[in-house]
Amino acid sequence: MYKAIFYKEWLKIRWALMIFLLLGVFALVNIFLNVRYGVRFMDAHDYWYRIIIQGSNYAASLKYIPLFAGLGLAIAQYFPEVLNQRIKLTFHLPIRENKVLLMQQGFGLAALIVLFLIYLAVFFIGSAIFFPSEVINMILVTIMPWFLGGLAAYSLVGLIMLEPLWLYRVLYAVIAYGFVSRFYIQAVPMAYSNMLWFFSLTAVLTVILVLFSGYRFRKGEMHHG
Amino acid sequence: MYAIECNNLTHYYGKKLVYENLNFKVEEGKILGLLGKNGAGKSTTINIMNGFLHPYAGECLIYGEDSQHLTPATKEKIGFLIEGHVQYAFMNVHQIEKFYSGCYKRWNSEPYWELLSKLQVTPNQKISRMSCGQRSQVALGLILAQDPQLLVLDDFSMGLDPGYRRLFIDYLREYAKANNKTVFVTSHIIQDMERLIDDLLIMDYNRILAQQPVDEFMTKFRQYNIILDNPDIPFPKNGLSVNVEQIRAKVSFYTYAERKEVEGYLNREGIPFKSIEEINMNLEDAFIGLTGKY
Amino acid sequence: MVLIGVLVLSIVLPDQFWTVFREGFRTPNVMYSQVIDDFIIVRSAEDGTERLDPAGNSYTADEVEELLPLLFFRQLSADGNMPDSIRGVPADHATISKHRSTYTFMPRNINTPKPVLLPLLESQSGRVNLTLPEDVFRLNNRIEFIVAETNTVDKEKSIRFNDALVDAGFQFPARLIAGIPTVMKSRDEGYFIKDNSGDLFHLKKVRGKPYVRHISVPDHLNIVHIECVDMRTEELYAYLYTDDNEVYILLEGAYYLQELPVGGFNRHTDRLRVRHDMFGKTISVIGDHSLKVTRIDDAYQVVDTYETTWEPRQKRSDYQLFSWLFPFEVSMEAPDSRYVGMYFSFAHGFGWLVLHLLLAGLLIYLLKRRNSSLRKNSIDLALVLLTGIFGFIAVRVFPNKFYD
Repeated sequence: MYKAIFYKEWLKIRWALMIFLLLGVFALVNIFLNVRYGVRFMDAHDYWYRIIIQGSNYAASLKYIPLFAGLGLAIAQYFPEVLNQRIKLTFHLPIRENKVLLMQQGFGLAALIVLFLIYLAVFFIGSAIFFPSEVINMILVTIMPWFLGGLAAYSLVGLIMLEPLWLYRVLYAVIAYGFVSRFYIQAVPMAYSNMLWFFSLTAVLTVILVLFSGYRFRKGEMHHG
Repeated sequence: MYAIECNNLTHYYGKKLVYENLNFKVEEGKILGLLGKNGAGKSTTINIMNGFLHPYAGECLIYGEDSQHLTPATKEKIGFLIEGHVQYAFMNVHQIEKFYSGCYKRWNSEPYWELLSKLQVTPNQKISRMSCGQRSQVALGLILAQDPQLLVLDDFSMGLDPGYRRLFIDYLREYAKANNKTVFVTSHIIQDMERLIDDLLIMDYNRILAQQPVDEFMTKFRQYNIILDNPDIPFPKNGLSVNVEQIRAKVSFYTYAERKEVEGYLNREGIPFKSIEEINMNLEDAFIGLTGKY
Repeated sequence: MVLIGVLVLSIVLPDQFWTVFREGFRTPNVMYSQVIDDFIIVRSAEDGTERLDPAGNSYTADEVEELLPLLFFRQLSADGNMPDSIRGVPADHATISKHRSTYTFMPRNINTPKPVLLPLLESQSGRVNLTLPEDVFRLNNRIEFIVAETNTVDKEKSIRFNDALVDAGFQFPARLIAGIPTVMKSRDEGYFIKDNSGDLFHLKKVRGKPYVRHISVPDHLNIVHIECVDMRTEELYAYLYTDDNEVYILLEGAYYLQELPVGGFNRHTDRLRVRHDMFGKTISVIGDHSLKVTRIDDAYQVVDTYETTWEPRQKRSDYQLFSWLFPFEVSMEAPDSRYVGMYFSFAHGFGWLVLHLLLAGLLIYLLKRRNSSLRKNSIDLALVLLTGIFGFIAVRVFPNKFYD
């Protein structure tokens, strides 16, 4: 049964994944072309100075890509389920409802994590060519909240889409926006370094939230008037 | 054990009562048709039966299990056709068969491909790009391939052309009877139901109007056309009749009573009439007679 | 999930509140006048700005300018009111501005992300402007120079500097390092590094060669923070802060640690402002609701002191209003740190209890209207009582119907 469910999810998200993979790699390649330019045609030490002392982040253009990847993936996964209340089909399958929701959510999350790991790997390799480990570490810590925000956004959008009543969808969306935007406040590089563990924890916890909406759907919230 | 057993189902939509104390049982191997006008409570019942709605009061048991907490093993035995033939339209016919075959242990893809061979679809055509009728066939084929014990078909005839509907009904009835399947159907097209069902359950706003085997209903429920002498005398609406429709001197009188009883009743009420004639009804006539034209 | 809602609301709602209601407060500005040999206090009052001396005499804005020639020399010269000498010393612009500088310390300077690598500039290049070096160094268990162009370690240079440090008695690993890592300064004095034993070392690059000077620090001094300054008078290299909340300055040349009188200073909560002028320094320790000013002369002897307090901000109307609405707030920033975090602070005052009771009552009413059992919703009620408006909104947003 796992295989079938994962197959279904894969069919839904494969295009979104492909798009974001290309988008992300394209952005990263761009970043490193700019870095290369900076190192070669400006004075390398001036360029390093900007990054290390003045806090310029060479990976800045990557900022919202994990967020959009999370959103896009959640929409790709849940929109086909929510249309025409097709989620009823999923709940009707011979498997416990919470289990199937978690499987779907887990698959999407895993796919997103793999995507992010690919981004990070490319980032790491590219950075290692030009920068010493301290700089790589510094920028990694600085951009990590963006990825965590993407994960949280993924789970929260799932929750929002699955909720049967529009009123609550809007309310959740407002709170979700408030929560996710905390990951992206403009700050000094490395500013989040004390908070990363907390953000990771909350991002992971948001995964189970989708069960809440699923429950409400099954109890027929939209039919209670 | 009954395949479906609903006890004292009561539900409200907001403050409005949908129905109260609905009780019915479906034995294994029987085919029950749920008839009713739009808004009478058909979808509510289907939703409750499949665990998509929590009733205000009462319970619904599927093979003895509370429909709000069906186990996966029981769900495997139920084939559910959602109203509108809702399916994962982002898949094509191959992908969807591959998906469902991985979910159900007893999957037999033969009937599915057999049904589909009659469709003109390309292998990679997404279900979303098919016509309504084609989608219905896919949905029905999937249910047959699942080989469920209980089939719940919500408005299965939607979008199908008459020839295909006839074909499917005959096929379904034979398949169900041959394999002792239980079927619970709803439909707008009453003639189809007539060919298919064993028992009927007719719902109207707030109440159940009839709940009995079809043949019983057809024999007991009658229509009499009465020509009145004097159209100005007010015709009694209640009493013996279930429903009365009057156009000037011509009265269509719907009742469970026998002819003699009717005559006696009219005499007692002081309604002179010229003639009284029993009309043969089919199920559709009977349904309209019971529920009214509006 | 309700908890996430509460958390988010406790960040966002107070934030909005402050945006709308925050009242700024100007701390009094205290300067020292060489003309009257006393302090001049400028502060805002209900009907405008007050200008006083400690005795209570009031002055006009113009009078204040004449009393503070070292500060207002340009305006006074333009008006033709500038004296030729002050206290017998000729007062020309060049000398006055050369001696004039202000140093400020804020608690959040301590909790700030620090650069991970640093550039060691050439101190005496013979050129007028400073330039950045082609490499940066890392300092942990040894010193290593990494060339930017190639992203590789300059082994030879690293060994040279490492040996220089070791020869001077440096004990790795380094504990603190401070400097001014920019070219926007009048000269380069390299870095001051605290080693594992608590002593200070001065590291510079002079004509390409390492310059290391060991500065002995008395055992009882535990330096926890260093801020380097660039003074044209070449008086001092840096301000040093100790564990015991003492403040020292490191005098140039002699490398002498001179203590500054900052009685009562707490580096976690107070700001420090040191105004340097031709004749001495005015040191202000600015706390939450108090100000202590000390005037010292060229020989670092205390000449005069002044203290004042004001209403703590907790009593101000915006804080009071806050405490009627919210029991606490969570903020992502803090006054004493530049790191992002979850900073929790209680409201000052208990007016919110009233609001909480009202909201709890409202919730009970709403529940009763829907015929929900109070007992089942007791957690929600408790949450509303505890967290007030945050809990109320969160509980309404996340419907809590459970059907079994």
